[in-house]
Amino acid sequence: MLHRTQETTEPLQQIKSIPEVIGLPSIPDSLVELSTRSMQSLQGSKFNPRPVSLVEMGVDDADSEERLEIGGSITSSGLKRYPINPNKEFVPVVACDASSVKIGETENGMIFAIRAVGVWRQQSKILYTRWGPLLFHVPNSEDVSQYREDESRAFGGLSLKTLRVLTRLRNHVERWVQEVLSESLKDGILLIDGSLTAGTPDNPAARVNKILATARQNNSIVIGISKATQLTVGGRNILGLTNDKDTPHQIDISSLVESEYPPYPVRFLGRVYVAKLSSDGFLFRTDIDRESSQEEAQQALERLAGTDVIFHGYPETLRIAHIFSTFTANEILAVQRFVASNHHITLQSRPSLRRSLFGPFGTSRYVA
Amino acid sequence: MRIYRKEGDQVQLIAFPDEHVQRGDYLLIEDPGLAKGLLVQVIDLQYANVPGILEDILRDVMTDGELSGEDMDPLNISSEVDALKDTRLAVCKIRGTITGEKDLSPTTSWLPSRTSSRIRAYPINRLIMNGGKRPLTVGHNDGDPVQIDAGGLDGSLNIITGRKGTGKSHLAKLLLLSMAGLGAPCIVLDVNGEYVNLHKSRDGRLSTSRLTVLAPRSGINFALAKLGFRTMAGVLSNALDLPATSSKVFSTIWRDLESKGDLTLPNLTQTVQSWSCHESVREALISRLQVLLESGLFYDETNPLTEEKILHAIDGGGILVVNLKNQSHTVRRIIVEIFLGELTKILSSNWLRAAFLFAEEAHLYLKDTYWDDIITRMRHIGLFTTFITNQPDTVQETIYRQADNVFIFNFTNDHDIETIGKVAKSDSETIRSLIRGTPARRCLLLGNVVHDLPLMVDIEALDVRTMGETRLFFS
Repeated sequence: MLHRTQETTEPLQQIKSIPEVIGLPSIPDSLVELSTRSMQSLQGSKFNPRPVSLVEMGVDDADSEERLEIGGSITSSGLKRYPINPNKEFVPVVACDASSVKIGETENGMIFAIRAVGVWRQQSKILYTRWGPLLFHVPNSEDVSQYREDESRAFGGLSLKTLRVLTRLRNHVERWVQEVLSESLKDGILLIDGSLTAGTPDNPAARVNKILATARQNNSIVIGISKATQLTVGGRNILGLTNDKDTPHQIDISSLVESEYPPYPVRFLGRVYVAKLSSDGFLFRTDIDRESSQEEAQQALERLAGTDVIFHGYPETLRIAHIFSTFTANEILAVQRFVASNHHITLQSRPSLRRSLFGPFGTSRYVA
Repeated sequence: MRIYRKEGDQVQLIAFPDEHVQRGDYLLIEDPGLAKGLLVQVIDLQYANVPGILEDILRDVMTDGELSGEDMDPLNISSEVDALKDTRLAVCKIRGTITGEKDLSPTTSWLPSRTSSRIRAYPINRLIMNGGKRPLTVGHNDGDPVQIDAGGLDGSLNIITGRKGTGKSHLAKLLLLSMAGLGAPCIVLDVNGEYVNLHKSRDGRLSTSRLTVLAPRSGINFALAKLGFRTMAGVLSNALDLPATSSKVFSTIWRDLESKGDLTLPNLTQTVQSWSCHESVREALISRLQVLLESGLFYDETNPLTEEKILHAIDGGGILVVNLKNQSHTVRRIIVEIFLGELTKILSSNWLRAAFLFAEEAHLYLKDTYWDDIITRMRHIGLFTTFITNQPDTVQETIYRQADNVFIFNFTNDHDIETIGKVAKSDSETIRSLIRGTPARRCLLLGNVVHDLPLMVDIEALDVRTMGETRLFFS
């Protein structure tokens, strides 16, 4: 997933208590208006809907993390493994994720749909809230004059390259959901998809910091879990550091990772671990709020391993959030139908150059 | 609705949930550019194979158990998702081309535009009646009354078939009363005695229908002299399986008694007993004549049922019910043999132009050799038969191939459906698709009466005493 952070412009609604996720606030009006205005520009134009096939699904959901090559090896670095002993004492676990998908192309841009999900594991049941999908027509041009001031601010006030705008829009929605959940969750664990590394223009640290601080105020802790990472130690991806037979454990590689980065602008807002939450699971890069102590981080991992169902080493709550946010082919068709019937546009299928040139050998973008 | 594809004589249409379409419906795919339309009939409805539907359903299943939640969906796109999930694929058979208001031609060698064609429900009823002079209301189709032209039953061989309790007899009675109302002479071979109160409404009121019910010892009483040699020889050989050698002796004895003017059943029996012939022939003849004596069909040969009486009962729109209830297989065969002989005489003598015979479960009383006779010889002299059965495999295949009209109610058994599929008036795929899962009283009409446009009809209710319902213990 393309997860980045940015400043929020919408004030979060205050949640006094949250017995169930169902009581969470709806999408901020400003975001809905932004969506509506971007889509209004479509009226009367031509729309080339994205071909929907299962082979091509997921191309917008490719995970992307920062690349980092760390020399040497963990053994030579003197890093220790700490066992994770699952603690069965119940702790509320909340997870969130967001997805975006291309719906089709217009004469001057692209239409995207964005959706975010929060999943709340309670003692006897799991509740979820889905926000969206919201539709955005993102023009290809860099002309920002067509956006109003607040929209420009929402996009970070930067030049608008389509993909960057999409990334920012999705991050904006995802961070908003993370803020809502950090406000709502008391004495629990907030799982987010991705790392807690921030500080780039696309990923400002202030908003992540705010989420971490809000969680701390509510005696909760934020854990970021990355499904994929480019972090390598001694030429090996950190996710291949241990063998399958290992019992649940974690290795704190913060010092290794931080030493490879200059002090500015990248900021590691979390301790970086390589964690294996179940014996039969995979390793995942796991970031935990660095303001929490080593003991608190260790305790959080043990309570997460004891409370959540760990599916191949991945928390089930976060897995559900991912499944519920991802767009299926059927949903893409539904959005295309919605766009066609509500925005008075002419459907126009452009021939696929890839298919025309390569036939069956060029139908998938995975074929390089 | 949109055209999805065409394959052979089938067109597949995409129908969205808000578009009302059901099996059996007729649709017109109008191409405004060509000023004509393709008339198609929906024979099956399937779910459209939307990409990713399995993922969606699996995700929905996850929320059935301990997982629940809410969607904050400001654009209400989830309703579009639901609509796509319920989008249907209507598999249609091409029935012809319509040009102008209602000119139907069987041409199907063209394709309507997939982009500009308009698809709408087509009121097929106007094509069915098509200027017919004798409207006969059989029921309704999607709320609209359906009338067929009774002329389509004239000169025809008809079959009414369907599972038990689906409404076959009901339709037979409706046709019978309607035909009689139009002045047609009708005879019913009633195996279960369910036509005997056809002239009474459910609350006991008498209708205007002219109904005559005959049964052994209740109107059915024959005299050898009146029946004649041909009919009696037919009874002995066809109903009582008299061997050919014995038939020759019987013929000689008959001629002898006929010349003396002394032709009664007791006299015939007595003569056979004293006749000089081989003992085995005598035995064969005596045993058969004994059956005739015991049948009670010849109890008073001085006042027999004659062709004139039969003619009087049916001429000008009367219904003659031959009640075969509680009769043995042999007696049924004798009665039917005699009645068919009498009808042949009446029709051959041109006393009647034609008559309509309704034969319920004919395999119970009709010998195999008779089927061909009914659909060839008797048809040519003006006896038009409607077979009614819930066991389609008891009707010979030649009957299905030559049937002019077929009325099919629900079947679920594959063997039955396979048998019905041999009907020449429609393709087996249409029949198989349309009759599966149809509710009681809904009937598929095929043949002349619907101008070869298969039509699903909910058969009209009748206010008559049916007497055909199964007697129940727990009622």
